[in-house]
Amino acid sequence: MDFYTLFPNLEPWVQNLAGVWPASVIKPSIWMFAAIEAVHLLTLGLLGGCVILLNFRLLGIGLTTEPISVVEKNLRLWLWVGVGGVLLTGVAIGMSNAEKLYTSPAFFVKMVSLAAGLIFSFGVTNAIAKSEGSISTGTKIAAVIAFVLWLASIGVFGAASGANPGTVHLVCAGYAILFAFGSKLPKIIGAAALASLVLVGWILTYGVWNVWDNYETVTQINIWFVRAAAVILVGLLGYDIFTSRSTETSPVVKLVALFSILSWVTIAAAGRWIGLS
Amino acid sequence: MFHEFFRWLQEDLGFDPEQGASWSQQFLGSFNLWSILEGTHVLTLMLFAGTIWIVDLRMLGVAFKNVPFSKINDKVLPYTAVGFAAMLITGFILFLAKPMDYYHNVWFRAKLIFLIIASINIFWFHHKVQKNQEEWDANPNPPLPVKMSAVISMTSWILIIIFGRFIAYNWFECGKPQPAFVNVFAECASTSAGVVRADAILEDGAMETAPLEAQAPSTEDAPESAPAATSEEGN
Repeated sequence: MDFYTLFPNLEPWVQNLAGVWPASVIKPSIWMFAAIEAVHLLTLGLLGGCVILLNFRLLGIGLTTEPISVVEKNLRLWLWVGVGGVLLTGVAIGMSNAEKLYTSPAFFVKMVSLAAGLIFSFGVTNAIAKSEGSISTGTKIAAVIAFVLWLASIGVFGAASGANPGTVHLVCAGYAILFAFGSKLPKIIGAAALASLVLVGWILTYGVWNVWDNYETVTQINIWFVRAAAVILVGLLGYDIFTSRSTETSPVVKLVALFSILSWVTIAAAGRWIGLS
Repeated sequence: MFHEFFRWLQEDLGFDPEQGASWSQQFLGSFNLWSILEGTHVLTLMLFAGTIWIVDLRMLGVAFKNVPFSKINDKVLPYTAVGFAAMLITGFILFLAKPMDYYHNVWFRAKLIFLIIASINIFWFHHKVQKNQEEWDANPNPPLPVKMSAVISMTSWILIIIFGRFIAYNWFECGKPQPAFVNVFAECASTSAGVVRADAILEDGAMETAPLEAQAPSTEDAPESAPAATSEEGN
């Protein structure tokens, strides 16, 4: 799935984008694209820190000595700077690269998860934080919309040939959250499961089947191991969220916080795999 | 200085005649391993850079002003440390994919310099500035040394990220016609443009032209399996 498949009639408009300001200035320059890309990464870092710290607080970890609303209030400006910077630089480098992005499944994934991430950050988690962790019906509806968008984006990500190894980042981020947030037993099970999956995958690829030089087969093996790791992760995180000792926020709010972080990780991972796939 | 060691690491170590590639080249040519590690390295910025900047912003007195520094520091820094460990491990493994090329890369060298500056700053902050932390801990506007340390930290990490991204571009690759100081800084050997490696500059300032086989590495020799690393279109 990509934007070309969905909107083939836009092709002339997309082709024209590289000639429109600011792309018309960026594209011929040797260094400008790289410089804007670097700012894109810098602001990604800033927004990532804000998203992680706020949602960790909603999960009941990190800045727990402060009320949720205080954490949100102090991070708000920097989240805006981060998201604003990423969007502005993203439009600039995106326009300069429009034709490639038009047919890129990874870019499609990035845009759908971006919609999810923006709704989570500016329509859901900020509202929950302002009301000290309670969630209204309207916010719940926004959260469901964002969740469905994110789910759709990872569905396309997993099926996007060439870019699908990028889903590994998502699973890694999920396990990192498990290790930061989870209770002892799920963490031990998670670590053991992850280690055994990597080991078994390695033995099958390089030993038993000896197919390391066949891209299609290796990718298939990787896909199935990522799926297995993801299923185990969902079970462990689900168990932890619904049995968490931290009762300041409800399990629903904790789920929202988890999906909010993961949707931003999806945006970044898909973005990186536009270049890698 | 270490050119020969990194050349051996990149081209000779674990060389398999069947594949015609060393361990390093096999890693660079791997289907997804290099890309996943590189992606992880970049994505970990969200955890590492983002959280360290929030601590820096508190030290500057512009975020979490009414929260004591120690609370932010104690609650945020453990996550920053995990992020840093992940960056360091993935960064080190990625270095092994093209050690000789990175060794002669201007941006890589600049990045290492600022990594050292950032480390010295952490050391200075921990052993000097933090000594009287109780006096300014709750102060919304910390004293100058604290702010200075925050500025050094933020600037270093910003430059480290920028230089890190620029490593992928071959603007100042050895062998290109460019100012002599660039070749000296990157320890390039002689090139077609007539510039020389650092140790070939004679005492009277004249330059000795090194033989062709001593020519510096070119990323063009690298397998084409990691397109994003050299592509200017990488996003």
